[in-house]
Amino acid sequence: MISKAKVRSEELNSCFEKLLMVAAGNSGVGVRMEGAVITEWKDIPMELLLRIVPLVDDRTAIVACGVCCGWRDAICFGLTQLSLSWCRKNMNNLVLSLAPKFTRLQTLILRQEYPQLEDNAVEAIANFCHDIQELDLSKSFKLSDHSLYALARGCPNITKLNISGCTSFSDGALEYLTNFCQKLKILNLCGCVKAATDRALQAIGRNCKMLQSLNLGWCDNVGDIGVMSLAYGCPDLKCLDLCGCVRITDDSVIALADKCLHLRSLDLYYCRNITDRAMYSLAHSRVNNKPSLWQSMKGRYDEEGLRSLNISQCTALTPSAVQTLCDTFPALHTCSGRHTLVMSGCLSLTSVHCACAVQAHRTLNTIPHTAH
Amino acid sequence: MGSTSTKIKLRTSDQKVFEVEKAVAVQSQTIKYIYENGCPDSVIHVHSVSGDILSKILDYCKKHVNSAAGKEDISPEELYEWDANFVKVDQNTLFDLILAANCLKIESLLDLTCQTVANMIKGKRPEEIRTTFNIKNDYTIEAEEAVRRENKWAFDMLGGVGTMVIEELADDTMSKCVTNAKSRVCVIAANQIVMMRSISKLANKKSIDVYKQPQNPTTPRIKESVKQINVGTGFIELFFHFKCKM
Repeated sequence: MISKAKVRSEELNSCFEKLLMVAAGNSGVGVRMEGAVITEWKDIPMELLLRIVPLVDDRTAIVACGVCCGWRDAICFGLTQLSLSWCRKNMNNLVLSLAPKFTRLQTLILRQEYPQLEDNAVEAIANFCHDIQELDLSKSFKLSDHSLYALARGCPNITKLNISGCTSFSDGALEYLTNFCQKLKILNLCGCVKAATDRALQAIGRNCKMLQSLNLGWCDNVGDIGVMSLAYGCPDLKCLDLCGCVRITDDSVIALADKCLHLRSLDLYYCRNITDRAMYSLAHSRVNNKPSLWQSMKGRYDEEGLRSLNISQCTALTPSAVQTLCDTFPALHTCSGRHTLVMSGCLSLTSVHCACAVQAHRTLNTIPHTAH
Repeated sequence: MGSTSTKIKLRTSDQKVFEVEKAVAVQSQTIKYIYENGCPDSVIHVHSVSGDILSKILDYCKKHVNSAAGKEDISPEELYEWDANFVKVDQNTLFDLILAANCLKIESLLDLTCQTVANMIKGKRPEEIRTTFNIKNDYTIEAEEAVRRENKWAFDMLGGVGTMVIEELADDTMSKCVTNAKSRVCVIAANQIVMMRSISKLANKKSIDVYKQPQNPTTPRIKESVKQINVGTGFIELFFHFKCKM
């Protein structure tokens, strides 16, 4: 028994030895084993440097690469997230210079305050950073379709893409992209008037089956055909922003209500063609699709349903339809704390209230009675 | 017989032996593993750590164990200050501490030392970092040229007029910015003690509004006179808003 314990402790000690790195430092006797003695900051183990770098801002991370070869190699190997949004003048140059080094980037934020990014930089990203999953190119006014073609070829693993404000992209190029980037889950096309057309939406419906969130804000070329293709093609859709998509009608909402059972957030701001039909379709779809106990245990049923709805300026709606909707979806609130049913500009809908707002109102009314 | 608390023996690379309470020693996950899976009576060899460093580390562990157990009456702010003073060492010692904390797997010490190093490199240029940490530049001439260009682009944002938000500049850069600022400097501060001292120094030369960044982002920022800011208590981020031509 004793000898066994002794052996174990020897074994453990040798494991411990193997685990330990050697640090002679300047304050004691170092022990040389299995390689070089680490005494200098330039040889700091990669895992430590990669623990330090996330604690500093992105610019310092880039600067740290310039300190010595060892640091450069460690950081270029381990850096997976980078934001260059703080650049005011030289983002394009920096991307061209950094893309070949940071080949393991998964998240790259290039949102610009002043338009700097050009096609050659996006091409560099596509050539070197094949692991990119999240890419933010918002407000890149200077980019052309070449960028989308490059991304399609180089970054098939993209799941989150933000090209809002990139007004030069065309729908053909966007369609091309969706053929290759079929893993898209979150797509922001806010303001991409030329790119977000029915043709592009049909392509998205065909190719991006995993899509969960789509922002089509202010894309006034979007019509019913496009949204219906989307509804039929993307059953996992949770969030859809159709703010300012003035052409759509009830048919779009009915298709969404029918096919996208996980819809949580819908924005119909300024969609003037929307009538009560759309509201009733959303309410009925929820009632009709309440599953058996077994199915709800499998998690396919979204307990809360619609959590956020913006019907501001949809002046054709009447109180009874919207109240029905509010009653059907417990997560829609008009109370001040959790205002998720937004109806600005709909003067006829002021009587619509969520259950908690009614409750609060009732409580207020009963208080005077108790005090005699 | 003997005390009720268990003691663990540790032998360092320079053959020094330390006997410490179990509760203190097992702050190190490595020591804890060895102790629990090996023979408790034998001495644990901490081959890669020297006596001086282990002594410091044990001080740290003891302080934190006592503070958590309530054996020592020390407020969170005071412990924070103690930690800040603990890492005020030369860069050689800091290096040894960080490697030892990594070997011994003492998470909180690793966080503290890594944050210290992070603070030491924030806002600096490569040459300054090399000087601080005594690192030799082993780049080729072409690579060095590329680094120089990248840095010029990265730091170029400081040129130009306008309101800018700059995070976590090094002291001297910050001094330069504040001195050159054409109008008022407004600082939302800060947990870096060194930074706060610089602000105090500059406050006398320039009108500086200092706003405390509250921990809860929804509460409004509170304006405070610089002289009143206690450098020991801190918040996370340091921002500058200023109009400046560099």
